[in-house]
Amino acid sequence: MDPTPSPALAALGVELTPDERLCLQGHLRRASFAADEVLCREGEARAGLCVVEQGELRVEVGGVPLAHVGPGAWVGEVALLDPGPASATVRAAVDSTVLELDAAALERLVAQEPHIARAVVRALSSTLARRLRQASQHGAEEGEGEGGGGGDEPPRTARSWLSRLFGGRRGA
Amino acid sequence: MHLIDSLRGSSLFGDLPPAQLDLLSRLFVERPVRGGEVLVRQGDRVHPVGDALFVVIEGAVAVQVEGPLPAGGSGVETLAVLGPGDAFGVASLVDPAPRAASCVVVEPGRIAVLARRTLDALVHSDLALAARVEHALARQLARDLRVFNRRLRARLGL
Repeated sequence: MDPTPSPALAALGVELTPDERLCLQGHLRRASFAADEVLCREGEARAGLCVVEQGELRVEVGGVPLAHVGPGAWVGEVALLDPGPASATVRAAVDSTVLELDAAALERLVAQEPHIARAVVRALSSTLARRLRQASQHGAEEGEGEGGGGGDEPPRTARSWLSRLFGGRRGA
Repeated sequence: MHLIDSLRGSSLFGDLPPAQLDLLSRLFVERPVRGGEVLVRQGDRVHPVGDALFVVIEGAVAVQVEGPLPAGGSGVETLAVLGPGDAFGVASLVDPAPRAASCVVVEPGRIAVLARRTLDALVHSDLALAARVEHALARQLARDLRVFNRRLRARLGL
């Protein structure tokens, strides 16, 4: 095991001590991806959470980039907590390393290290709740229409609206 | 319908082991609700101490948003009607922002309330249960986000 926890776990383990983050890291799997390599494809089953350790991931829907996710930020929390088809394609924007947590590993964490599991799911919950709120607020804004624009700009609207659902938490 | 049956049948806590479900049910406080009662009001600030998770035991609760409608004009849109076993207030437990929707009783009955301070204190008395509950709340939020995403895509024709 590494002597110190990865700095990438600062946001996910915000409520944890360095020793606890190191324990969390023991439940994660490190994986590397070359630039342009696809981590998961829209519509296909996805393994779970990916915390970016190095590099940058790009989130795409229908081939349109919606968000860039850098070190310390993560994607895949919905797939981790509610297994099902991925709602976006995730691609390495540059050579990248990620720390992965799948549903089985989270279940082990809940059973074996409840304190750590609780802190991790709280961090995930607050991201999910914020996205739900931002997405619903955007829905209201769109209804108001933009002054003079006629409001008929589906691609731009779709993109900005969806990007709120996928706006990965910015890393440290 | 008893509280424990509502919890057992809920998507939120349905897969908790029976012993933990029993412990959890004792942390809720039940109360009757009358038709038209507003349990949560859109735009209200969330108070960290007074905040709570709600589970419907009997009756029905409508989740409503007031404001501009997608079809034009403005009014009240009902997003969902919740029945026995359904929960609300999950997002507000973790996100200290004004309430995104109102929850109004449309069919009188009973609800169960789990105060946030009770939930926070659980970490000291029963850490294993606290972790299970937090996990269940996160899963509910993920399901909600997936539903929202699907609805949004349908509306955008994606």
